[in-house]
Amino acid sequence: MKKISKFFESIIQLQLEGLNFERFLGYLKQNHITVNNVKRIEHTKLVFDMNYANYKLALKNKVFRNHKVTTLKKYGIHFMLKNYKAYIGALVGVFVFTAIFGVLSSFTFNINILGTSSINNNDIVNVLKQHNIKIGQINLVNNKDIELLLKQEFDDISLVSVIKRGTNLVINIKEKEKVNDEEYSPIIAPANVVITHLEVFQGTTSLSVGDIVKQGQVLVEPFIVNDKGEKVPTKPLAKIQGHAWYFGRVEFETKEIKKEKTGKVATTSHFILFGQKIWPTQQTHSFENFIVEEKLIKTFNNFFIPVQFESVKIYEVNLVEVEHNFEENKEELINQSKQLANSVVPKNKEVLEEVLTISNIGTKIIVQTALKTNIEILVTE
Amino acid sequence: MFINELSKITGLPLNETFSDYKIVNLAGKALYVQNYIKLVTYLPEKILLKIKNNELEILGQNLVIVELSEKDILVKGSIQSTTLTKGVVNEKN
Repeated sequence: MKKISKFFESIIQLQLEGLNFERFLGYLKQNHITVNNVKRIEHTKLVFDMNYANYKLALKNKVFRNHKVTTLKKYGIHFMLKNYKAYIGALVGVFVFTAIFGVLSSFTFNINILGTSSINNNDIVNVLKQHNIKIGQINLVNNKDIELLLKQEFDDISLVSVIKRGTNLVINIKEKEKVNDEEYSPIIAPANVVITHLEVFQGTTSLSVGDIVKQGQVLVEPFIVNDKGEKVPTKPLAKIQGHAWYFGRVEFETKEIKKEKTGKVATTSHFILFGQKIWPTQQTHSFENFIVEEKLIKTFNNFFIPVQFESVKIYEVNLVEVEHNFEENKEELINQSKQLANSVVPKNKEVLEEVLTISNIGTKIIVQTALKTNIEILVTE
Repeated sequence: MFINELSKITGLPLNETFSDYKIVNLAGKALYVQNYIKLVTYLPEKILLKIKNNELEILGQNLVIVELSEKDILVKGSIQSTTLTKGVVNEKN
């Protein structure tokens, strides 16, 4: 407390050099000046304290006129302010700069919106404009109110945080996650499968162990049925094991009808100009079996004269039945079917069983090789 | 109040006791003098004060004037003696 009062009173410690200090102290008494801690440290030196008001009075009344005065210490607000008077211009400059900086800091020069994907940033800026939060203006709305405003205006916002960084208004948005039915696909059989193990963690299936599923058929549907009987979309998760069958099939015709030309020909021909037939010639025929050969010839090979010549030749043929011996081709056909079956077996899959079937359908013989492998379909995440 | 009581006990007139000098010695370590007229001598070993109709000589060591105002003086130090140099003057005598 004493220190504070001393600070405001302001104390100066002076040293006087000279003689007849009693006379000086008499001047002080005459001028109603109080001094403290008066010490005669030497015969010609006197040290004492006085407050700022008394010091001013002493200077005014020239009480130090007969002595050499040295200031030893200064303490207090008056002396501090007196020192700062020399820097008044600089102080005013600092004050003005601080004031301008403070005013400019309250402006918003940029609105930075982060984390939006479905919400349009311009929509956010427009909503802010409607509530007097504009670029190039002082923003008086506090951050919490802006957050509340955005949450109320945009249903898709899950979380929002607003921070003022200098003259930037940073809006960080987390949007609500949309559940899209199309995002979940069913688990599909990659091959023809005989199911030996079926474990569904999530989703719906109508299959059971022992069922045969064709390639491309749905194994587990991407939904579950709730208590109300509604289908709720979900990602299907399951572990399915079974035997997959891969097939190679080759067909062989035992009888073939060949057409042999007899040498008789009937010809019809014409020119074509701009899509119109001109100068047609036609030969009639009474062939029972025939084959037709058509020819289109560009008469002039340029764009200026677009004339084409079309001719149709009808050849008379006799139908001759030719027989093929299956046994002679059997081994080759079996190898072909095996190769075809092996080509569709996935790499690194061990073939557990091979089944060869040869069947007749009319004049056609079908050679089929079936290869059996283990298969595991594991979808856990 | 203290002066009032003293003047009652001693029978001295109150206005006289107020305007005259008063000396208080605090255990030989400090001395307070009220209504002094002039500081005649100040040395670390001796202070001589002019008071009404007399002079007060203070002898000691390391004498420091803690406060010196228009009417009062407070001296601190090792005070050995305080003497009225002209003796006590009784106006009636």
